[in-house]
Amino acid sequence: MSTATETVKYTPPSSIHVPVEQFPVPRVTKKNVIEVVSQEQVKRANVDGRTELFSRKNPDRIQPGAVLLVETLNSKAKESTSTFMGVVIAIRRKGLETSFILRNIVMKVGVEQRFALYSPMLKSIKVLQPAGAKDTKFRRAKLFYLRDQPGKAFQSLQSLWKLEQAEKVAAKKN
Amino acid sequence: MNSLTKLLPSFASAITTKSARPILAACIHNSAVVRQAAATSDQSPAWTPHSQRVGIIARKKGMSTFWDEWGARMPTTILQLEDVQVLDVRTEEKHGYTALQVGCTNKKNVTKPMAIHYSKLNVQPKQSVAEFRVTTDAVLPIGTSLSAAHFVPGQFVDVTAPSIGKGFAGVMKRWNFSGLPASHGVSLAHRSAGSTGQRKWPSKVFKGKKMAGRMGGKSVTVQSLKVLKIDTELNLIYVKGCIPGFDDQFVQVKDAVKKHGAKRFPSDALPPPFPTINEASLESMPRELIANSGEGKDPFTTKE
Repeated sequence: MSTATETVKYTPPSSIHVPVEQFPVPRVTKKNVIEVVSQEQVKRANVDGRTELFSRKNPDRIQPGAVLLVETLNSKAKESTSTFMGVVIAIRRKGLETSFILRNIVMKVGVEQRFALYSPMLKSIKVLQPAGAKDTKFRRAKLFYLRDQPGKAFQSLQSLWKLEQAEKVAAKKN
Repeated sequence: MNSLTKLLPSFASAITTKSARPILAACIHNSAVVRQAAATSDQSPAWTPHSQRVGIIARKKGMSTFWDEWGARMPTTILQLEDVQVLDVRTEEKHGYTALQVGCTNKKNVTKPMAIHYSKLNVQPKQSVAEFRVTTDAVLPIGTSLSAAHFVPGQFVDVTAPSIGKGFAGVMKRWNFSGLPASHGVSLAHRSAGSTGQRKWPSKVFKGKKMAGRMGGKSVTVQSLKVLKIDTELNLIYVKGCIPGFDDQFVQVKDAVKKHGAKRFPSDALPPPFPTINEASLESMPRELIANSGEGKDPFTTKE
């Protein structure tokens, strides 16, 4: 072990990358290392305020029954994205592993997709219709019963999709 | 030598930042190899592909998730080093093999013989102690602190820990037997093993016949796990995948044995910290070091 106090500058090799935003050292006790560290990771992954969308106390949070449009990157190398629109039927809050399920009926086939909230491939989340609007009020946290009794839950999705496309075209024109 | 309190040295405490973490001077212990190692501490011996570095004992803290630079998601286990120090050196001349004894996590109440033993080493008593075989060029002096930066992000490690005990487990759980049908006249034997052998020949049950018994609680090694990330301030190692045992358990981590020589480490991170990371390099390191996936190409693109 060298006892000399030379200032050696650390240059990482190409197999290692150093995140630009380094957090200051947090205070940890013997028991809460995981909590503290995952909170830091959530802060780092919260690039566009998605934590606030899914927090428990925010009055404008996304609730089960809301209609969302999620855009995901197909790969980091390319610019191309995939979009999926659907009703939120479940939100699983687990810190960095928080995820939600969207359900839609595409060409008469029910399709569900689960998205990890803090995935770097998740580009954007847009709320097309908040929960509780237009007599689609749900009194449950998990809406898995919609798989068997959809009722009117998925009726408005087509019109919302058309509205969204129209807005996109208008935005492109401008 | 009157009271135990005089015997235990006072020390900087457990989870401190690396700036407050001292590296002790070489020992009082009688060992020619150790004195020799201390004398040449300014020039660390050069790493060769045949060198075997010391391992560490860490505590399994829990699991989390990790996304690499291409967006691929993988599970990760977080291990924390708590006051890991070298406690003893085993030498070829005296013991017949070369190894370093490593201890983890300071402990307050120890028996008097142990307290005297630790005070001679000038080290606080440790809760978990294990030996790691090393080559003679990787020997460290007694009292050396080992930190998370001993491992290089992107390298492969083996993790050994006792698995969770399952108690007296039946044959279906222990050996994945399929049991007997749930109906069709089967009486009182739905989860049993069935037959245990033949008839007149060999007229015995073979040794090693799979039967019900105690399952778990044994030492299990998971090999070739990738180190995804290192936290030099909190002394954390993020390892890809799962590790046997429950949270807060002591696990032994060492360089992978099935990857030979230089293949354990990413090719541009050679040589690894040898025999372990030195103070100057540790001071200059940023807090978080994350491994790149090492593949070089995006796993989500398809050939066109």
